[in-house]
Amino acid sequence: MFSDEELGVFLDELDEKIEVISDGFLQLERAGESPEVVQEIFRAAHTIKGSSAIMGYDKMSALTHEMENLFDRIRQGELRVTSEMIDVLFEALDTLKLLRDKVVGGDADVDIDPIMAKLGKYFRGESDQESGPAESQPLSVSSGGESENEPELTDAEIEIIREALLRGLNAYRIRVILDPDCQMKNVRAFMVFDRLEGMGEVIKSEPPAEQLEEGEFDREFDLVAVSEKTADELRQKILGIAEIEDARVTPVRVSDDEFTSTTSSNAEEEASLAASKTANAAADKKADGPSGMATPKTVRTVRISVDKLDNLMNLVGELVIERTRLDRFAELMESGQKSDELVDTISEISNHLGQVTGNLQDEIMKARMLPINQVFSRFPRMVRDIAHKLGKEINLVIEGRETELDRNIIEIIGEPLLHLVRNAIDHGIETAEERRQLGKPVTGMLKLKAYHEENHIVIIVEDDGRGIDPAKVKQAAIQKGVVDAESAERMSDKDAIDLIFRPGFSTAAEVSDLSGRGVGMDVVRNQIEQINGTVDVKSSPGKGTQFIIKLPLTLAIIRALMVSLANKIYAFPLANVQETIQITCNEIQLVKDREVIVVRGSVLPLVRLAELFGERSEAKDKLSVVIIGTAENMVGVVVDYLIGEQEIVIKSLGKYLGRIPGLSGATILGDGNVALIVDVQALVQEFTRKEDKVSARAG
Amino acid sequence: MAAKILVVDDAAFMRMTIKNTVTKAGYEVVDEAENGAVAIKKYEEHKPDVVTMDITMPELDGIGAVKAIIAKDPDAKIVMVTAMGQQQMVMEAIQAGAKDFIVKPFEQERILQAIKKVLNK
Repeated sequence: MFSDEELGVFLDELDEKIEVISDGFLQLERAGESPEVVQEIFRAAHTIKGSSAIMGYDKMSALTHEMENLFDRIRQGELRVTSEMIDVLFEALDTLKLLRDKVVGGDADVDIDPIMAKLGKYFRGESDQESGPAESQPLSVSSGGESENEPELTDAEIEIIREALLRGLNAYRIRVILDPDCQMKNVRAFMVFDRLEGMGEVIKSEPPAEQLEEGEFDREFDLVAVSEKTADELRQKILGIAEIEDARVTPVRVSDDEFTSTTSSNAEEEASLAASKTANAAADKKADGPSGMATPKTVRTVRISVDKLDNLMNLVGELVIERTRLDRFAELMESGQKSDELVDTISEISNHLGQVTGNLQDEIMKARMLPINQVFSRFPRMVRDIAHKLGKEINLVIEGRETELDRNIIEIIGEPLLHLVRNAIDHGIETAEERRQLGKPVTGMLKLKAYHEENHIVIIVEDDGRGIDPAKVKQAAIQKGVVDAESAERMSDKDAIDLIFRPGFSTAAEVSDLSGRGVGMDVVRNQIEQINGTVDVKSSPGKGTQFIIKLPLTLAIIRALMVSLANKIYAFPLANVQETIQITCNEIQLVKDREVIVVRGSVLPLVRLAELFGERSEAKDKLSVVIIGTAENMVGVVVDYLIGEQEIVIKSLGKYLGRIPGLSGATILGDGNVALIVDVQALVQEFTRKEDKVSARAG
Repeated sequence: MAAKILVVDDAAFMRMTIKNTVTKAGYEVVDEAENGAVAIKKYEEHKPDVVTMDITMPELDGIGAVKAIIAKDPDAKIVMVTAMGQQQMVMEAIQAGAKDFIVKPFEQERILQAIKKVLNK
């Protein structure tokens, strides 16, 4: 059995390669065939084939093997990519993804036979028509043994072999096969190089040295080497290394006519590519002694589990808390005693500790960051599919894919984005015909953009479609009972458009299978608010719609407004706080037995936190009110005192407490006390819903 | 005569695991060392047939020890016992003259196979 860690690495790599393949297919479709893209897809399929075989996922291995075969034909120039083929390829990719899902726990049985047949038809049909693959293959060098999949030699390499043979040396093809569960394959390959360099010279490797260096190969790799030793001596030398299952050494012979035949090869470009790589490797070799693999040039990385990062973040959180406590302590000492060496030292330590903790926090935050491309990368394919299906032409523009976000946020943001993108294609962008009539460019534009803004990440989903018509939204909202006619009448266009975020509202005239049923924009907003983000919409009818999502950089540490209530301290996440005001009791009005206040013309429901949490609040004439929520959904919350802003580390309330209404977590304060974090979203939702019913009468 | 093995690792558990494994297979563990510096001294003292060498150790790490041992005895047969993710260091050790390596955690046959292979050379 394989360990979780191995499975994790396998899955990571699998996802990575699936993405490479997916990107590759899109590029083939968009820009036509290019040797580099074909090669990349080939390699990715090859890698998956190998590792899935090791893991025992036979179907996945079989499928990717077939894909690899197909792309092998393509890169040999035996097959051309057609648009029909691309559809089949996408189908194969989908099957591959299903197989992947099965690995992570899906239980549906995946039938690969239909797609295997479709794939197989391509190259089998093709080679039947041809007089035989051997003629079109640019193999110029034959060896004594088997000939499948062996590296082809360039003119320059053949020249080296020829020279070596003249000098009385031998030239060999060597296929090295590692143990099935060999670890650190790259170091094994390095050792093989090391041994061979001691007895001769490696002139070519397939995959190229760089790839071997990265461990990017299956169990096997091929080398071409010249040496004065016999085949058996080389074989024994290689077999003397642990975890090597076999080494097949076969002599290479070169004949004149075969030599000349290479120049007409249609895989010339690829071969020269490989040659230049080998040349680079050879150059390294000369510079660094025994082997071409001696100088790793890539950034050193280790894979680390998310759990570990979460733990680290947690520990830093503790440290932040202790630092705050120390600050507090230093302050106390300073105010108690006058200047004293001890006090000075402590505040100096406290300051320094503050800096270090701050840096540490930043670094760990960075380690948790992932480029948003992780989410964006799945859209090109999706947009293509949906656009095809609806007969729309859409140009997807992605900007800022390298923008980094906390991985927890990345995990959550995918779904709402997906929804917005689907909506834009389904409801936003018009059909080509409609666009032509409107005098718009036939190809619709859909833009995904991410960028950094102060302490936030902003993601914009923008289309140049028909936009949202406030009048229609109002009409639909009234029809669905989301608002009553009277309040709809008074709404500004902006407020009307915002109605799409209300529960029970769906803009689609008819429910399409693309945008789904029942899950509306309210869910999108909820999901975004769950991660302390906000979403806004701007739209001009006929011109397009823009959704602006603002997200915090991280979920673990936030700035909060601290308040006190019945001598206990509560925290409001600052992102959700609009402002704080002082009111007098007589500013409170009663509407349908509910307390409301009017702030700059808007009627806000008033919530007394004390009542909500069953606390005894001080009776005061002046009340402190925290206004929370988003511009269109605000609630005033009455607290005893405002304390101030502070950075807090969010801690969950723990499993045994479960979810407590009105609270989203807790934090530990500088003095060691616990403060509870108010669940602003829930509060706003709870009280603005009631507000709908009263708003018609108020104001 | 059973081949003599020197086990070098700073973790007592690893030394024990390796010792048990190789002893069961009929080799003789002549001594153990918990860091590179001690390893050099004990290599001199026992002239073992094979050394299993951890990489990350206090005082002197495995690579330093390999360099020192190979400098005195170019034929020393040293098998690196490495952790995942130490590729670069293993390569360094091999360039310094270590004859082979295995990756922790390993199955028993792995270390036995590696020892057998370096002894056959």
